[in-house]
Amino acid sequence: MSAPLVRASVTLPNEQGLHARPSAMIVRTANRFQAVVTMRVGERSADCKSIMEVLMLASPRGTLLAFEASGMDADAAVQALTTLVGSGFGE
Amino acid sequence: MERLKGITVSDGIARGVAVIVGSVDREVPEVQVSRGQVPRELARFDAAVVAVAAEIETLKEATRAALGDVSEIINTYLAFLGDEISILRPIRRLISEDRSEAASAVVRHFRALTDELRGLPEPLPSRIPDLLDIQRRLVERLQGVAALTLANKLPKNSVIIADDLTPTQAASLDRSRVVGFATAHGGPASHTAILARHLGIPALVGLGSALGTVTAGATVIVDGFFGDLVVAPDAATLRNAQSRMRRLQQKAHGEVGEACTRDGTQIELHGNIDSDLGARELKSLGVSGIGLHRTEYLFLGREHAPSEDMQLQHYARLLRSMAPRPVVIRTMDFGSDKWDPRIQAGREPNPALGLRSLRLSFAYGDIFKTQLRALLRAGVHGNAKVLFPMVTDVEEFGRARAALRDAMEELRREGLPFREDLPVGAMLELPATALLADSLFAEADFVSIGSNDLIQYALAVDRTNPEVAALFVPHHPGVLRLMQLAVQAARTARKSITVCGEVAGMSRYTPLLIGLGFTSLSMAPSRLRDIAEATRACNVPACRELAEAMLAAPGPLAADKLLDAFHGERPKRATRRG
Repeated sequence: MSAPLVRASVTLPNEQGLHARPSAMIVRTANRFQAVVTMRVGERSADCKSIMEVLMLASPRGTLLAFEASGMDADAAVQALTTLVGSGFGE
Repeated sequence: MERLKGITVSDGIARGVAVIVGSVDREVPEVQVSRGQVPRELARFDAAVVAVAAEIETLKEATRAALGDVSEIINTYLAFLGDEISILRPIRRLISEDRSEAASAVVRHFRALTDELRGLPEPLPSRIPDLLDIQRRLVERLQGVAALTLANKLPKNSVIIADDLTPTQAASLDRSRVVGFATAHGGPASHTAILARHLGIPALVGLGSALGTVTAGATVIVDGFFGDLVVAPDAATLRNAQSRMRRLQQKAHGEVGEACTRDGTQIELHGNIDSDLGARELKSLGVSGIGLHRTEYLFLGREHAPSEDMQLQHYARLLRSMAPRPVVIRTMDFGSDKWDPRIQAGREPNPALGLRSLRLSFAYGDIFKTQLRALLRAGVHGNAKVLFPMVTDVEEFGRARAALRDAMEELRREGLPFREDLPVGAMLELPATALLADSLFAEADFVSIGSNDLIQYALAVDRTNPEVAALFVPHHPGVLRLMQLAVQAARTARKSITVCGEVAGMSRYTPLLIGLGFTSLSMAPSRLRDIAEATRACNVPACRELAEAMLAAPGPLAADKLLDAFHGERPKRATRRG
């Protein structure tokens, strides 16, 4: 049951924080994978496949986003998400 | 026959069939189903989600053509519709556990979601309109109401009746079948108004809850001249409307024609445009130039402010297509009735007196500077002029000019080409500005009167409020005296002044404006022919006499009588104008 957790953190670089467009991009990226992916901001966390949960974190620029994934493609999922965030969502 | 009073945001007259577009406030009764019906409700809900997602997907292309790139909004919509955890599963749970009928389960859950968002800090509340739009689409599917997005279902000569149109609705209309709009809410900058002006068809807003009494399929007349929506018109009203429509259509062909009074005073006619669509056509109509290019369009439906390069390309294209004629580009004018998701002005208790227009641009200095840099760089591509919105006095104007100088300094350091001597003007929209017009002209290269706001602030009337909209009158002597101060100051300073609010495009007021001394008017392109014709009928001394009498009138009723007398007897007014 307890699959190994893959973890990686990245700082949110884009000016306007995690608003609708980047949130939708996170969800779309997470949905490409089987893995369950969670994003933690401090004490709070969101399922990366739920745009409402991701939006509710209301993260401003400079927030440290900690991704955690479990499942067979967890590595690839975390890799894809940290790359996406690190690139500033192509903004 | 019934006559509903609205506010004209796009002029013209049209007769058509009422098409009611589903509203957010559609009544959805709380209905419980029997246990046996639960699987059916679940299946209906899942089918509705799939159908709405497909509907939104097909909008991507249509919307791109009509409103620029709104795929960002649409991707967000699709993400909401695919959100199992926070949206789909909770609704299915309401259906299976509470035995809620599918549509009422949707409404219950979305109400809970929007209530939660409303209490959270920005930008979360900004997503509420998106959620309401998705809710509306789901409910319409589930209740079998024809969604407006099914453009092919519109009957010919549709008059769209709605609370207000969302950007996706406005974009997805089959325009060849729509002849007019009437909405309960919305203002001159609503999507409905912008689209209607672009299409050159009449639109009324602010009809309020009375609009709920209009039944689908009823014959209606949208009368932009009087601001009336006539429901089930009687034979005489219909005949009158049709003859006016015919005359307008006859005028709609060929060039605008000379705008010169009978006694030889040339009046410059300019076009107002919201986007770069139609600029070429404007030039072929023979206008003097573009008197007001509103730039809010560039910002609508985007998650981010448009980049400097994107703006530069847009302005340069517009300038090249109009060159050598002048194009007055107004810097972003948000706040009050114009709303943008990045700029949270709508949440003030009194937005018309709040952080809006130029004040808002100062508060969002980065976005403002990007626009100024783009304008300066675009200036080398044609005859550009920059206009700052709602300038209060020369000191505030100086601050805006300083921002422009800073942008120039930056461009110089970066070695980018730009136009150094860009003419800079001020929009006169406040009574205080009119009273101080002489000092403003010491600094401003030109002035444009925004009559809509000038009237609003002079008379303390919000024309989108149906309770007081009837008090919104351009011919109020108090308003006319303010305009007179402005035009006199322009003459003394030997600088140009243009009227570019809606009054400039209403032929009833053309003799009055000429009489006050204005020689430059800017209006929606669809109004140009009518105003050129009205100008040709004018005789300056008679116009001046009219203006003087109206300036001396004690109030709006007396002034209106004088104007009626000038135009001939009142009952003929509707037919005479054509």
